[in-house]
Amino acid sequence: MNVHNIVARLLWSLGVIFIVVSTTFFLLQILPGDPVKLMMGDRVDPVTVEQVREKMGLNKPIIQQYIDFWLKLLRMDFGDSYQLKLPVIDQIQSASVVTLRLAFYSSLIAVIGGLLFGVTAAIFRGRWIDNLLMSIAVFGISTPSFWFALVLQLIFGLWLQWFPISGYQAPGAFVLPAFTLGLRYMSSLARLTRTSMLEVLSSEYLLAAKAKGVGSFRLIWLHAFGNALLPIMTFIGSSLADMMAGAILIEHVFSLPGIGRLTFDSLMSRDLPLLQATVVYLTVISVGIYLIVDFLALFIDPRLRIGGKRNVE
Amino acid sequence: MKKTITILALLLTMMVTISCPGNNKSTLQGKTLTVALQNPKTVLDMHNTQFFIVMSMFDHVVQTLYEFDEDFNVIPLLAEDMPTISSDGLLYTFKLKPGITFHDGSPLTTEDVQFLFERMFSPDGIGISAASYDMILGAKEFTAGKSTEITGFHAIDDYVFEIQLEYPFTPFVHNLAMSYAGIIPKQTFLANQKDWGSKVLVGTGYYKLKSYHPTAGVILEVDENYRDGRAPIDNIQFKFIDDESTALLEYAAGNLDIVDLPFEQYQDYANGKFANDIHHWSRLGTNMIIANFDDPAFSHPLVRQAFAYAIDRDAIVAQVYKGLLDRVDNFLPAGMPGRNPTIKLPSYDPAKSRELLTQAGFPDGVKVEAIYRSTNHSDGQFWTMAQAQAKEAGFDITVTAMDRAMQVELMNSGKIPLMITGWSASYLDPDDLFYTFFHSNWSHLKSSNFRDAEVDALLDAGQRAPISRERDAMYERVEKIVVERDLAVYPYSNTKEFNLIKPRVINPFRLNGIYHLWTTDIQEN
Repeated sequence: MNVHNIVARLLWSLGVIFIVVSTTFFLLQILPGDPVKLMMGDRVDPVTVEQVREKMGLNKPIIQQYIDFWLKLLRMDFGDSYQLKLPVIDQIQSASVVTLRLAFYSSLIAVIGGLLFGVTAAIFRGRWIDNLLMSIAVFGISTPSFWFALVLQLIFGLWLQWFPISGYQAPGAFVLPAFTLGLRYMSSLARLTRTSMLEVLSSEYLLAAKAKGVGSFRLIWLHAFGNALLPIMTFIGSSLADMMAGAILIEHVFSLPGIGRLTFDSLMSRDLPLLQATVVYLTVISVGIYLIVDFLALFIDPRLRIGGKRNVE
Repeated sequence: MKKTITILALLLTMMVTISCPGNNKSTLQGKTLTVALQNPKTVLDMHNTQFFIVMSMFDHVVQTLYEFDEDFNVIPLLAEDMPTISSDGLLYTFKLKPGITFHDGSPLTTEDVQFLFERMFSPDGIGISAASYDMILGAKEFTAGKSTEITGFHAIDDYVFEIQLEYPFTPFVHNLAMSYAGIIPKQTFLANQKDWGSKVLVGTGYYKLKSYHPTAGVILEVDENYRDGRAPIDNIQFKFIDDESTALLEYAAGNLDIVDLPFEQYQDYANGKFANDIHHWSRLGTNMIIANFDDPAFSHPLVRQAFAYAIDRDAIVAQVYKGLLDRVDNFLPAGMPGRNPTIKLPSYDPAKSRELLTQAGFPDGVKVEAIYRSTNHSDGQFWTMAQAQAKEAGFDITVTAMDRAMQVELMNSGKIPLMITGWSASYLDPDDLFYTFFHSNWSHLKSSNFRDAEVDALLDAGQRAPISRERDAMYERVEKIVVERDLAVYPYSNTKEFNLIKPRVINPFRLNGIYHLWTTDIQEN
């Protein structure tokens, strides 16, 4: 791997983070809705509102507020939430743990289910098992997640009482939300995997390996799947980035205090310190994941490493 | 092969790290009542919020000098008796019950009551409800930093104190019974400011704060040493569940004892196996339409009269609210002193509306925008029906949904042309209701922009007048003006809440929307 390219890639990522966070900062300044009035209630007089705005630094020139924001950010000081009066960093920390867990379990379901479905469908192309698995995939892509969540809650939470209906602290609490969130990605991954595998399965080197007597298991999982992995891995990476951003609807329905809900609630209440911090967090996570995916791609596929600079996309 | 093993090893490390169990719910010992609440998204501190949801938790831990009984009579709680009031209505003398201690063992004294007001009017950040108490002499000067003490508060000794008002204010003692006047221990607060309302909340109530989680909920545990004998239930767990359907499922699964029942789902449950679990509670409130006096069309009296004929409020209450609320024409809720029994608004009559619009110079009708909060589904349904009705009557209503922040900003700026709102009084006195909506100092905050010198004078006089028939007559006159004469509001229903409550819960109580569960018990199997 070319060190120069890695450094360039890192710098580029930092640039993306800077642009996204700065743009968000300025957009939030023009968003209608006064956070102070939301905090203070109806009967507070305008003089008091202005005093509070002054104390919170909201009356400073925007450029000054922007500079203060970055100076604090570099010290990892996000301040306190307007609504909860608690350190923002603590709230993000606890919300991100919940979202990480949900994302991890959902990813497991998506990856294991998606790969198994996709590979199986490709191997048995055109037969009933292929049709069945792809029908399940279509169902998974087109089913509204809130409806599916409700169905799972009803069947497995209320009628069978196998899993908790909501919350995140009881054993098994993440099963239903993970299946709800994982279903869509599993379905998309299944279809992508099937397509990628079909391309590879018809390749000449695979026919050659088969002619040389390579067993079915090695043929499929080592030769075929290995070469189909690149687009699959890219998809898994982008799905993981999506999941890490939090699934607002699923978090709301299952009462999971994750990053999605935190971001949404902070937007609705114009809790600017919390909202800005979640944007920073989400941007860093997304950029980080894509960076890891890119490096993994180089690691997995030597063809991408050949030719130096040209190969870092 | 090596690459595959490396990747699998990385995944395994991640799996082990991330799948560490989170905080497991601890098993609560003893009788536990579980109540679903929407997440108020704020700490348990009435200094910073006006949410009834917070009061439902807060009131179990922190108490006030006075409280309301189930008929809204003010009765002593931390005070020994009702205050002595001077003949001019300016000086109140109070005496605390001796021997009361906070949950941390510190004694309740006058210093703590004084601190309530010092914090409420602090120049570093006044309480959100300070306007309800700023008639205390010297309060405003204290907030402005012109004084280092609130001159109207006089501590006589550890248990006796006086409060002097700037002007007579008849509902003052009622305000002292509201949660905003909860008494907390001064020294404990000062030592725990940053954690107050989350990790720390100390009061004199039946319950102590056991745990607070900003997204999971609150657990209260009984104070075994409560002065008048402990409450029956050992623990009250308030679970934050924002999704109504999820909360109802949890109730059906037996995981909740008390849950809100939305209008939309009422019939499903009334016809099902939980029919006997339904309870309803009235609130001291009214749902109403407000049309902005500053709107070019609605500033015309005939247009306002026309609008009274343009909405079929009977049909809306029957359909949108499933007939569960009572149709009203009064602004003041039933039982409120000053409620005018003669108030009557016209019924739906599109032809009459059109006739009045023509007389007003709007033969082609009037265009107006109605704005509602996007999270209020029933408001959306209201306007869908009202829009169709009003169209027949010559009003072309454009309906816009907005998020709360934008809607509040627009409303407080006095710029919403047409909206519906529900408003509840905290107690049986009309001052707060009328003053908020119709006094010219404040009417812009509800986008009413109603201004009338006679109403201002009556409201100012009413605040100062002693409770009497004459005072009631003032408010009856105000209601006549604002509802019938000037049509500043178009009331259409009262306000109620519905709960599902498990049969094992004995004596549940909710006063004006706030849970009061310290006399509630659970019948164990």
